[in-house]
Order: sequence, then structure tokens, then C-alpha cells
Amino acid sequence: MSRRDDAFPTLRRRFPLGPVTAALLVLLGLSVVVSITFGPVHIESGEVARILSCKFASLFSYSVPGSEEVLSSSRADIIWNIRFPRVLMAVIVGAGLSVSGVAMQAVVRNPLANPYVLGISSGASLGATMAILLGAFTVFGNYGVSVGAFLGALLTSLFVFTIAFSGKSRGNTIKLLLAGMAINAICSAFTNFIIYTAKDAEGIRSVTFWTMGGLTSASWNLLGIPGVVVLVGVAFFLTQFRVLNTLLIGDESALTLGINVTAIRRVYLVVSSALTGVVVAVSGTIGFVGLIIPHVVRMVVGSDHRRVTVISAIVGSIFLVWCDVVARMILGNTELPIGIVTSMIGGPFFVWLMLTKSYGFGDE
Amino acid sequence: MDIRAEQVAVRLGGRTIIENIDMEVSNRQFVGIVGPNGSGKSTFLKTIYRALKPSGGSVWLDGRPMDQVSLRESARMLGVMTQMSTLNFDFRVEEVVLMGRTPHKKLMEQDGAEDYRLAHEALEKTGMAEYADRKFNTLSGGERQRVLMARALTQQPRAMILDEPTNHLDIQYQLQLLQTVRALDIEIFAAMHDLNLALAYCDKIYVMSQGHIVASGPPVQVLTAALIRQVFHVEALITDMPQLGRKNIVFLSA
Repeated sequence: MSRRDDAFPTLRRRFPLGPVTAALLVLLGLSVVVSITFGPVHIESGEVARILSCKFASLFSYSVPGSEEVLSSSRADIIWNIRFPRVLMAVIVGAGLSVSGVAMQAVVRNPLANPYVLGISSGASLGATMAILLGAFTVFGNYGVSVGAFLGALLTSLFVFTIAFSGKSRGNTIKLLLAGMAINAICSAFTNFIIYTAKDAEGIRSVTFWTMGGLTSASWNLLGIPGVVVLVGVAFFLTQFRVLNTLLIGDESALTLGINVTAIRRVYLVVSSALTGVVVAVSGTIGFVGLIIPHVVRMVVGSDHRRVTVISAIVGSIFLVWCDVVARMILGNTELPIGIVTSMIGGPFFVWLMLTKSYGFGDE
Repeated sequence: MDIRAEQVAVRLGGRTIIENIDMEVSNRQFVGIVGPNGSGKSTFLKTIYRALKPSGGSVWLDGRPMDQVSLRESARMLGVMTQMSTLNFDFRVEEVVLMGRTPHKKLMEQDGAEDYRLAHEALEKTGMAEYADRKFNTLSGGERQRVLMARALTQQPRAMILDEPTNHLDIQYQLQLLQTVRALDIEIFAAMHDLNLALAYCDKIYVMSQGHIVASGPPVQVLTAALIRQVFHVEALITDMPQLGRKNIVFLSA
């Protein structure tokens, strides 16, 4: 018995999920602090840590000696009101996109799937474009663009579900992907039409910037909803590791293991779309994060979702925090849309993935 | 576990695939379904393991109508082994086999020592123990088949459905697999291609042709030269092998 156990050491024993998760969380914490030091005004990480800890202490009404002095500096204001919410936004968006990507790849059983595969990004872009160039959603004030983007995301996903789950088929994945492509084309056409006929040069620039993704709009007010939705969505998928695993091995196998594939696929699509929708609404369409991160994670830890989901969430956060640093710093005084950074890294990676892995496209 | 099908029919896209199917597996019998390609064997088995809803008739598990048994519950009773293509994602053999524990697990429940023991026992029974750490996708067709068998065994089922279980397997593993499932001493329901294996292992067989059952009973009685000519359109000679107390079918010409 023990001899046999030695002969086949199990991954459960070999893979220290707890310590790895803890280490990654520490790394994420460090990334947050260090990334805050980057900006037009350089602030030492020691000071960042001091300011953040004083601020947190005061939030919980502890008074640390000398904290008033620390918090009254202009740097404290920059850190707490400008840079910290932005870095937190990167954490939320990174985790949301990565976990949404993990779920979407399992749902359509295709490694090349990503959170936008159902056309959510093009719907969100259309909504945002309407808000920026046509002045739609002005009743929502400063949040008009986000609301427009979210509504666009919501409507496209509803449209795709309706098409894919209508008729006799039980929501087959090819239909989902094709419906996504169709809505993508339709929304892009309308977006381009609006842009082409617009006279507003400044507006066109904002649309362009928005569609390339960015965290510039991050503020404390804007963090709440995406923060909660991403937290709940990620927590939900963390509990689903067994079902996600069986989905990857095929509908029929999952079925014979007691999984109601049709029903569970709908639930996952809704949760995953909600995650993507709120994230896109506040950050624009940041490409490739939801595709690359799950793959990099799988390459290192294997395909078992009890590891893939949690590690993807944290690694995605770390990745986006650093991409945002690059976006902020690389051009000196102007900011680069973060989507350009992630796509520059992600595009070549995608090609490399296609060349090295013999992946099919949704075949049974 | 008893499995009973009553008047099962499947119609897809206006076409009748199978009709009037009455079958029964009970008393820990090994029941085979034979028939030419497209005769409806797989379609029928799909209605048993719930990949297809019958358009007519009913299926009963242990005397309970199928639609009153939850998917999870039937997955705890029925082990299923079918043909499977490649996976798009890299899983290790051990992980694939452990998935057999899925219907027994609660939300968030981890795999314990007992689960690993069952998985490794199953891998040993199918001769795949040394492959536990290999990537599933790097295995040959026959090896994958044996891993899927191990997964079905890990489910600790009370009955097994096998759809052409010996496909891709070399002769050693064909026999080994059939002996393994026989030794489980549970009800086995298997679609089989090799009539000689059906003769050697089945307690009862159903012969299907064009979506209907055309004969049933103990294989020695059912598999006659006349039936083989009628159903498979092949001339066959059925020989006695007194030293084995068995019969053997020699196929002559199509």
C-alpha cells in the first residue's frame, strides 16, 4: 500500500496550492505598493506603504502616532485618491478578465476562447461610442460612458444567448461562437458608422482611447460595483472547480458524471458575461488578458481548475498592475492605452500558442 | 442494478433511428448488443446514459422511471465508457480518472485518500498504473480507452454501459478489459462488434438491425449462420470447440 503511494505521488500532495496562493498574494501586495511609486512624481515605496497603512489605520479609527502629518501631505492625496484606486482597478479588472476567460474557455471547450468571444466587447464599444459621440446616457452624468458600455455588453450577451439557445439545439458551442461573431460584426459596423459621420474630433479621440482600454477613469466612486461583482464572480467560479474540469473533457463525459451540462453552461455564461460586462464598462476593452493568463497558468500548474481559477485571478491582477505601469510610464508625459500594452504582449503569444499546440476549434 | 427499456424510440430530424426497443439487464448479467454499423446500438445506449431523450417509450433504473432520477444520482449508479476524441486541454491521466469521483462529491469537497486509492486501483486493473502522471493527450487510442475504463471503475458504479469497449485495444487488453468488467459482478450493457467476444463473454445478446431488435437470447442460440447472413450479410461457419466447451464463428465471405 505505502509502496504504491510512493510509486505514484499524487499532485494533491505534490502541488502546494495553499503556499503558492499565499506567495502570489504577497507578490500582488508588493506589486500594488511598488506600482504606486511610478508616476509623474516619484514616491518611494517605503512612503507609499507608510501612507497606505496610516490611511487604513485611520479608516478603522486607529490613530497611529504622527499619522496626521503623513496624511496631510500632498503625496498622501496623490496616492490615496489618484494612484491607489487606479491600481486597485487594475487588480479588479485583471482578476475579472482572467477568471472570465477561464470560465469561457471551459464553457465553449476551446482554448482560444476569451471573455469577449460572445461579442461583449463590441457591444460595450457601441454603447460607449453612443455615450461619447451621440450624447446618449447623459442622465447618468459622469458615468454615462460606463452605463452605455454596460448596457451594450448586456444586450449583446442576451442577443447571443437567445440565438444560441433558440431552436432545437441545446446551446451548442459552435452556435455560440458564430452568434458572437455575427453580433461583433453588427456592433462594429454601427460603431464605425457613428465614428465616421461624427464631426467631433475630440470625441473621436476619446472613443479611440476608450476602445483601446484604459484605467484613467478609475476613482473610488467607480470601484464599488466592479469590485463587488468581480469578488462574487470569482468566488463563485472557485467553488465550481469540479464542474469546470468535467466541462473541459466534453459534454457527454460531463453528463455521465452527473453534470447537467446545458443548465450549467447557461449559468456560467451569465456569470462570466456579468464579470466581463462590469469590467469592460469601467476599463474599456483590454484585450488578451483573459486569453493569455489562463494559458500561462495552465502551462505551469496543469488544467485542474481547483488551481487554475484561483491562480489565474491573482496572476491576472499582477499582470494588469504592471501593464498599467508600462502604459503610464513608457511615453513619458502622455499615457498609452493599456490595451495596446496587453495586445503587444498578447498577440505574439496567441500566435505562438496556435503554432505550438495542436488546438482544434470546438470539435468534439 | 436493473436497467429496463420499454418501447424506446428515438426520432431525430423527422427520421426514426430506433423503434420498439425492449431490453433488460438484470441479475448481474453481461448483456451485449450486436448489429451492423448504423443499426442503432449507440443511439439506444445514449438513451440509457441520458445523452439522448427517447422520443417514445421509457427507461427504468432499478424499477424507477429515468426522469425521476437526478443526473447526479444516475451518475453514481451508472458507469459509462464511450468513444472519445482528443482533449483540447492537457489533463494528466490521474486527473481524468479522479473525475470519476465527481458524482460522489459535494460542492468544494476535496479528493481524499480513499478517492486516490480507488483511482489507482482502477488504473492498476486496466494496466495503466504507470501512466498516472502522463498527459492524457500523449496516449495512444487504446491507452486512452483504458484510462476511460479506469475512470468508469472509479465511479464505483452499480451497472456499466460500454459502447464498443474493445475498440482500439490490442487483443490482450480486449480480453483483459472484458474479464475485468465481468469480474465486477454488476450488470453490464455493452454494444459489441466482435461476435466471437460476444459469444465468449455475454450471458445474453440483443441483435439490432435497422433500428429494431431482430433477435435476443443466449449468444450460442442466437448467433446462427442464418442470422449472421440475414443481419450482417456475411457467410459464416459456426464451429464447435469441444476442448473449450465453446463455439467459434469463422467468417467466410461477404
